[in-house]
Amino acid sequence: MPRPEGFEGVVIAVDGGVQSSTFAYGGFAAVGRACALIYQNGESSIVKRVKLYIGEAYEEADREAITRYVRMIAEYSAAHEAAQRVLERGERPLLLMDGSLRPMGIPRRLGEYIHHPELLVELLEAIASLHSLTSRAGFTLAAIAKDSTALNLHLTLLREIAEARGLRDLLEELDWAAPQRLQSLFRRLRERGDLTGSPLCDTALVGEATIGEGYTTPLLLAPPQQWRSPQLPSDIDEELSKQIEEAYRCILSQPGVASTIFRPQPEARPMRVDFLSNLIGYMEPWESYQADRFIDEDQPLKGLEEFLNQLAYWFCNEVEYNIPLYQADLIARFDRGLYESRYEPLIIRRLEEAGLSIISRRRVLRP
Amino acid sequence: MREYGYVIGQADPTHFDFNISDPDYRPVNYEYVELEVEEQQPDGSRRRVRVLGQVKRLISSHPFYDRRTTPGAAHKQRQLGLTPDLLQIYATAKVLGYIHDADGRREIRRPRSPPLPGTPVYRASDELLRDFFTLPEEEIPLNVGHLLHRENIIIPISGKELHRHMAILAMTRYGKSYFAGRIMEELLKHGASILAIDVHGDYAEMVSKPDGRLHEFFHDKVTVYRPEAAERLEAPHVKPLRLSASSIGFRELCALTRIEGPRQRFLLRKTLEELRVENPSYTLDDILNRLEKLMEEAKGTAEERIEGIIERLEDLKREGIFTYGDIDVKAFFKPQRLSDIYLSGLPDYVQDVLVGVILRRVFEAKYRRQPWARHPLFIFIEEAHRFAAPPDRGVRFSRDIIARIAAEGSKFGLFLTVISQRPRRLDPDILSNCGNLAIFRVINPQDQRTIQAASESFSEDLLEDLPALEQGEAVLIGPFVPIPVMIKTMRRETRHGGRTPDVYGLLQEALREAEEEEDEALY
Repeated sequence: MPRPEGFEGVVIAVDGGVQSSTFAYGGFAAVGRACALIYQNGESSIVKRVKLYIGEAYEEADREAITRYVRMIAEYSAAHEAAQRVLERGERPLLLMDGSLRPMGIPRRLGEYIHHPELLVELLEAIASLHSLTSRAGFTLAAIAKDSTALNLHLTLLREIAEARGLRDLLEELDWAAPQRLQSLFRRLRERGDLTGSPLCDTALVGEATIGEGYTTPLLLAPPQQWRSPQLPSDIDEELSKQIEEAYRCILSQPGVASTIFRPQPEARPMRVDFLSNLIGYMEPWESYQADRFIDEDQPLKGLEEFLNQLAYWFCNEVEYNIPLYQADLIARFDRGLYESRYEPLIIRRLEEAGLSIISRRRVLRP
Repeated sequence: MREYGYVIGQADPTHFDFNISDPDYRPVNYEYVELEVEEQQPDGSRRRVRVLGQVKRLISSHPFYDRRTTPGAAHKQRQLGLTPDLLQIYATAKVLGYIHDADGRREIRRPRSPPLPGTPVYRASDELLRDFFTLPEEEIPLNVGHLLHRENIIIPISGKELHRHMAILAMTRYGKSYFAGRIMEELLKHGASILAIDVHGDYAEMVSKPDGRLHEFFHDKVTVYRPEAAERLEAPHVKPLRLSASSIGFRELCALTRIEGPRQRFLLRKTLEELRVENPSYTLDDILNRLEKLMEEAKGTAEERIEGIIERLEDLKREGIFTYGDIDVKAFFKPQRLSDIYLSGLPDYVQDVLVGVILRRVFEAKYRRQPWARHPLFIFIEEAHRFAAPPDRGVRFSRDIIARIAAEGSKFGLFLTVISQRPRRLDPDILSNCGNLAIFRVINPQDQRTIQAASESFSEDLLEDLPALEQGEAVLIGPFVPIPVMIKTMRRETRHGGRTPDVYGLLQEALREAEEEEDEALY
């Protein structure tokens, strides 16, 4: 299969990993590691980034958030650095990330900002910086999730059905729908007689939406409501508070994120592809999207199709679903052995040098 | 000195791994490397010693091309290109030892401490390699080869240690005879007397240089002894090998003629005893004449018995083994002389008898301390599996005497070298008496196991090296080298007779001849 024409650019693949240690008395260390592989002229070079957090974390939710943040900070900064390098050489990047471009796990509940706002600021600034660079330089930024849900597609389809059938109460409900509420929503619909058959689960929905090879109509994703006006807790440092708000503003002032479900080959499992909407010509700020909606019918999709053709070319099988990302994963894979042998001893030594006493028997390593 | 890389992973005193810093500057397999190891001294102090090692395995890997990589992915990955930073090459090296000066006595020792991780590993210097392999004059250094991959390092074997006998083993056409010829050249330069059992005429041309002209030094040091029934060979240095029936004993004659009945054996023994009194150098015809006379006087079953013996002896006569005259064993012991027993073209059966007789005579000369046999004699036996097969593989006249020379010959000054491409068919007792081994390429697992069983010092990793050897490359192991070493045989000074036939040239010639015949027929 020859490489498809229509794209002249430098592929960059980004992936990351994280490991952490919990010590006695709330001590917590997390290491995020990421690499960006730049493929150019038959060779590839690597940009590596490591983000380290050492501090106190007493709640599991807090520890989970920190590990997520350090990984994403490392990934976004590696991606930014790699794209910058390619742009400086006068080339056009095609930046591929693993996962989603509308990051899940950034807390919606404001109370969660309290313990680690400085990390959140850093992450939001990293995202804002990359989105800004992408829209300014006009290149493609995309993220691929092969095991993702299709909640947004699901909700949007339900909304279109509700509109078409004049179900106003359902439309209101859908505006606030969260995954855990879909089940009760379907139950009530069945009770009312508005739902006769069995509702589709995400996988079935995706399967129905992509029967052959191809992609679904791109969905423009609205930013989470809380990003528009983050009501931060009163005890947060004023300076940090301003930084968080500014970072959100910056992200929302850039083009938004669109999503499509893409099946590269008839037998392949579909994957969700998020991309910055500049790829399909939607240059308005993200904050202007009030709700998720499908793109306009007459919107030209040549740029997207060229990009998806590239993705189809890099697809081999369910494991090697995208060769550049697969390679990035191989390098960035941060296993426990590597962490225990290389990173943790260094962290412990530095902590001891700083005057802390490490009680090893209370130490717990994440699996 | 530029390092190849650094010791990584777990090292022990016998093996270590090292990574290669620059893929463009990397060792090849079997390359010699050196590194420093801190060795504890008997007084408890520590001393850094320069240890020699040999690369036994080279591995390259790249995380993008692991075992899970599917062909489709590999094809596409090639388009993306290799990330050179991630290319990892590392080597496993075997520790060979270091030179220890024990009160002026130089010896090779194996370190008892492992190299430490991070220790730089260098290409072994010529100086260190020469220190390792150079032999003092009293060891009678015989320069037989170059260090593998290092042509400037000459590897001598100790001629003095050849008293522990030697086996040269390899597949056909991998350089056994060429190597043996090289040892003979070196031995002749040191004044040695050599007896070669030459089945294919491999050493018959050692009077000449490789280009065919007479060699200035060797032209008068080689005598070829050719039995009358052997393949034709005419040259000034070729002499007839004569052997009379009186050279062999009664038992051998019975075995050769398959005379088994007690009365027939009694009759034959009596006849031989009577003949020996009259003429100690009797011939087969003398035996036949005597028996025919006896038959004239005999009657009934006695006549039939004698007739049976005569019939068997006439069969033997037709084989052409025995003529008149006798072997000049004395000549074999002349100093600085190669006596080549040329057996090419003779049936196995005849070769076996001749070799057995000759070696027995040689052994007896030494055993009886004949004054003319005072010099040591180096005996090389080509195709040794034909003569030194285990007893259960059939009667071998030569086997018993070869086994005796292997077991006892050393104390009388008979130093044996067996050469074979079928180690598994060699008598294990004979092979295990060969303390020195020169092993060329061997791929047959049975042969490999035989070699390993024959030598305690032949380790598993050396065995694994054998199939990788190219023509002329050998592993030398035993007291004749300071440490096991891989060599490439040096270029011979004399002409080697065991060359591969030029089939292409011969067929071209045949084709021309056929065309000429066709032309003649037409006109």
